[in-house]
Amino acid sequence: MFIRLAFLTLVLLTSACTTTIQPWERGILAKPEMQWVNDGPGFSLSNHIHFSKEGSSGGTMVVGGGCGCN
Amino acid sequence: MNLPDDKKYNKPSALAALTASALALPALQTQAATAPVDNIVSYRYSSYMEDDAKDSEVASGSTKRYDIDIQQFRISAPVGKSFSVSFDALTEKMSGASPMGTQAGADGQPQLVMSGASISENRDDVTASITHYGEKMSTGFTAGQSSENDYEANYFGIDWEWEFNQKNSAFQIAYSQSDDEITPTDAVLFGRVQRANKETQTINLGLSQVLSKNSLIQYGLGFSEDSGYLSDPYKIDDARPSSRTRYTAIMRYRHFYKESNGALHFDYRYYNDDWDITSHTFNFAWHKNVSGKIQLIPSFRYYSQTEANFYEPYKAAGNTNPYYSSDYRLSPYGAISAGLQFIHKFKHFSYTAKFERYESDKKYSFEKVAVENPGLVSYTLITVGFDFIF
Repeated sequence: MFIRLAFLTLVLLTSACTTTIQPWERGILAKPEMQWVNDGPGFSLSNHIHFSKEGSSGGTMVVGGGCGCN
Repeated sequence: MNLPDDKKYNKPSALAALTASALALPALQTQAATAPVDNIVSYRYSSYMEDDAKDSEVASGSTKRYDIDIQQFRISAPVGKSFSVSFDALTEKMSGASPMGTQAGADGQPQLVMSGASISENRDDVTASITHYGEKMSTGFTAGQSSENDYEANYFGIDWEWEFNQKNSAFQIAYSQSDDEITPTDAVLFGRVQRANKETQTINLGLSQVLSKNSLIQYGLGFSEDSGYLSDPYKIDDARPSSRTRYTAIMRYRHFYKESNGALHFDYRYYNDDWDITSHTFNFAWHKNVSGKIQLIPSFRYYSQTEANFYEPYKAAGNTNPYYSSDYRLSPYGAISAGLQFIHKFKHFSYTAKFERYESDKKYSFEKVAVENPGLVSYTLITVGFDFIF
C-alpha cells in the first residue's frame, strides 16, 4: 500500500508541474549525453563492483545473478 | 554507450526523448525504447586494484588484497523494424587475498584474519537479450549465467514499458529472478557447507517524465527478496538469516545546459532492508562536450550505510546471538569516489578511457561510527575500450 501511494504521489506531482513537449522539440533530449545511461559496459561494471563490495544494492533494474565475490 | 555520431541520434523522433527515459532494458539500459537502427560492437578492458591491508591491522594471512583484470564484450543489433537483440560477455581474472574474519587486537580494536595470497579465480558471465518495440509499448526478455569454480548463478528478467501523455511520460515494470548455487572449495577440510542454494526475486517500477526541452526526470521503486543460504562460507563463524527483504527508491535527473554544451546527471538511491541496513547513494556527473569529437566526464559518488543488526566488529566472548558476521560489507561506513572519463569519436569508432578512485572510511559515514572495520575496501579502477558502430 505504501509503495502504491508513494508512486501515485510522484505521478501526480510530476504531471502537475510539466508541460507537453512536442516531438520536434526533443532534439536535445535525444542526445547521447542525455540518456539515463550512455556507457553500458561501464555502468554494468560499476554496478557489479558496488554490488559485490558494499552492503546494499539494487535500484538499477539491471538483471544479473549473484557471485562468490570475496 | 558512447555513440560516435550525434547526428544519428539527433533525429527529433517522437520517441527519442522518452526513449531516453526508458528506465531500462535489463542488462543494457543504454537503448532507447525505439528500435535501434545500428549494429554496435563494444569492448572494454578494466584493471581493478584494491589497496593492500595495513600491516598493523592484520593479525594473520596476507596483506595483499584483490587485483582483478576484466574484459567485457558486447554486441547489439536490430532485427527487422521492431526487434533488437544483444549479447554480453564478461570474463574476470582475480588474484589476491580477502578477509576471512576478525579478532580483537591487544588494544581492543578489531584485526583482520586474512586468507593466503594464493587465491586465483576466474568468473565468466554471459547475457542475451531480446526486445520488441511496439507503437506505445516495448517488451524485453533477458537471460544469463555467471559461473565461477565455486559459484553459479542462472538468471532471467522480463520488462515492459508503456508510453503515454503524448509520449512525455513512460511507465516501466520489470521482474527478475536469480537462482544461485554455492559449492565452496575445501569444504570438508575447513568444515564449510558443501553445497547450498540461494534465490533472489526482484520487482522494479519506474516512471519517467519529460520536464522541458532540456530536462528529464525519473522515479523508481524496487522490492527484492533473497532466500536460502545468505552467509559467506569462507568467513569465520559467519551466520546470517536465511531471508532478506530489500527496498529501494531512486530518482534520476538529466539537464542539458546549452551555454556550457554539457549535460548534468544527478542520481540518488535510498535503500533499506530488514537486516536494518539503510544507505544513501548520490551520483553526480558532468558530460562536457569539449568539441564535436571529444567529451570529458568528471564524476563524483557518495555512499553511506548503517550496520546490519547482527554485525559485530569481532565476536565477543559470550555472544550467543544465533546470527553473527564481521564482514566489512555489513559494517557502518561511508565511501567517496571520483572519476574522469575521456571519449574521442573518430569515424565509426568511439574510444574511451576512464580513471576512478574509490575510498571507504568510517569518517565518510553520515552517522558517527565508533569502531571501523579494518576490512573496508579502497580501490583504483582504470578502463580503456571502444565502441564500433556500423
